[in-house]
Amino acid sequence: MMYFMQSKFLKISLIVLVSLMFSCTKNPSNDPEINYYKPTPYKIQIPAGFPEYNVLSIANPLTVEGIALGKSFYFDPILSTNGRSCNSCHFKENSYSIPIYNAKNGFKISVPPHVNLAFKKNYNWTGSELSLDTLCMGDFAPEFFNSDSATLYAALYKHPFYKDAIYKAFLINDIYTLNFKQLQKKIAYAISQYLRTKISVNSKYDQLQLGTARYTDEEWEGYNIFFTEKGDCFHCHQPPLFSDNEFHNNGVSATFEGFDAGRWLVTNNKSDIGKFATPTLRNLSFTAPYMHDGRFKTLEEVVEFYNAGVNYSPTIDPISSSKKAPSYQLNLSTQQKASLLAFLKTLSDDSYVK
Amino acid sequence: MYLSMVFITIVSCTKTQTIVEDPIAPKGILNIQISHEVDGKALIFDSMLYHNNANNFYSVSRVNYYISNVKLWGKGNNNYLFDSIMFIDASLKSINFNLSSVPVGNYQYISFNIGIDAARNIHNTIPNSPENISMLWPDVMGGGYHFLKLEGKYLDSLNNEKGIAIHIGLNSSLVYQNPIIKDINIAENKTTNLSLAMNLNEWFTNPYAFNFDIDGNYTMGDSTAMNYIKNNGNDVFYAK
Repeated sequence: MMYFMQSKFLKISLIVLVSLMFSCTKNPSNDPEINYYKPTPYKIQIPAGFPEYNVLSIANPLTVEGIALGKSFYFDPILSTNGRSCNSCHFKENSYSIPIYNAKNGFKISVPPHVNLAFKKNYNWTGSELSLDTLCMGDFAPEFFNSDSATLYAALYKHPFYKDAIYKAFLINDIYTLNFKQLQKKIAYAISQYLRTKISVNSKYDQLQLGTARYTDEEWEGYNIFFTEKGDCFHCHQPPLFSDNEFHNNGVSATFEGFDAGRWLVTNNKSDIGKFATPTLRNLSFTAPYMHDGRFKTLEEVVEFYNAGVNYSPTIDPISSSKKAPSYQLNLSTQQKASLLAFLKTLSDDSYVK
Repeated sequence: MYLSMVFITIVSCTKTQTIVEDPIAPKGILNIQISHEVDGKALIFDSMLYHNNANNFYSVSRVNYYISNVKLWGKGNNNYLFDSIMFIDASLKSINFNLSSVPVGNYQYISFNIGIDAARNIHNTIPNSPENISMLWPDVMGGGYHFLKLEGKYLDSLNNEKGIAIHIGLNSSLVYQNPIIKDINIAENKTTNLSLAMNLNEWFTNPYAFNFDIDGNYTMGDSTAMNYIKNNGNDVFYAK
């Protein structure tokens, strides 16, 4: 009897043990009824004063695993057939931008940096993309990754890291259950999760706010020019993003050929001719050349343009054209221009590009 | 006990509201619709159609402002204060907001501020929405928020097109919209509609005929110009 009981106990124990072993190793997605595994939610620490605009996405909630997957995709040429990755046009040393991109349509584009994108209302110079979640969808096109469906499925499916990482991020066990558009969207989602974590708030300006840095007299003079009617930079480059998330014609062009037409290329509304999304001034020391087409090689040229080179056109911004016509001069002295430059340089975060 | 007042603070991405509420009084809703006009005609953006009393021809490209502290005036000191801050962007097709818990009764006037009262005109007091951030008034110029941004172009004395940036901010420039006479009847669990229109030309008209060539086309940092605009702002709204 005792032997029987012991034997029965051992058998039950063995069954329980085996069951537990299977439950530990079983990939739960094979059983659609019961999903034990869930990606780990991730919460972005929003810097003080920043808007919570695109931080959260109901369709694409942030997870630790999604961010890790997105980071891998960002730097990996596996998405392309030409050896390119996101990082091929978004260099760390340039605050994840590239000085100039010569587009196939002939547009010469100073690529906006990937910095603080979680807090923007729209993307690209013309606001052509409204969602960070799908910002990268266009990169599968022939001009960029030249992605091939069969090649991409095969590469990801057989890849020991991505097969597992895609499951962990999105609970997708078999990417072949997705059509190509759905697969691209998941990849774009992962990359956008990673981009949401790319936050830069460690410039000298930020340190000044925290009381851990002090400005020189010259930087203070530049600060005062920037934040008063003297330079009047703040209306469009409003902190903490140093962008107002809006579109303006700042007077950089008098006529509008090709990419110079700006926002009009998206809206076809003539009042948008020559308007561009206000770029952030954060990390501007790393993002030369400047303006939408990189026409100014240096910050000195940019300051000189605002000081004495603004062009009239019918859609010029009222702020840009509120000074004395015809060139709406700021009339800054040589010293004042140097001070403004000194202040502008305090907006760059060295730690972001190291 | 039942007469004790309950203060409810609701914070959303675009507004902060504090409602002074009697929990047992029957309530109704007042829906306020805002429109923007120039001398009786609907505003058309970016068109050099308008002229003020100083004979400046001008266009309008942006009208952003705050409405706050909406007050309904009833008989016998039976008043209701809706202590909220609303950001208004005149470019939106439909602009309206609800006073969602108004005690039932008859009210004869409505008044409000254009801008933000001193207690809340401090950075980071209202939510950091993109709209509120774009309205920040730099610390070095006194801090707080723009109360009004009215922008466009005008033709100067040499017929050159120049920008106008009629901005007001700072506590001294808070605009008190004069009480607007209007019978407003709030019924229990019903929505009453009220249409208000802003006549943009009024900012440049009464009591002071603002001249962009003489008084300036850019008001920030110019307390005299801001004061003219503030005083002209007392009656920019009317009930339709």
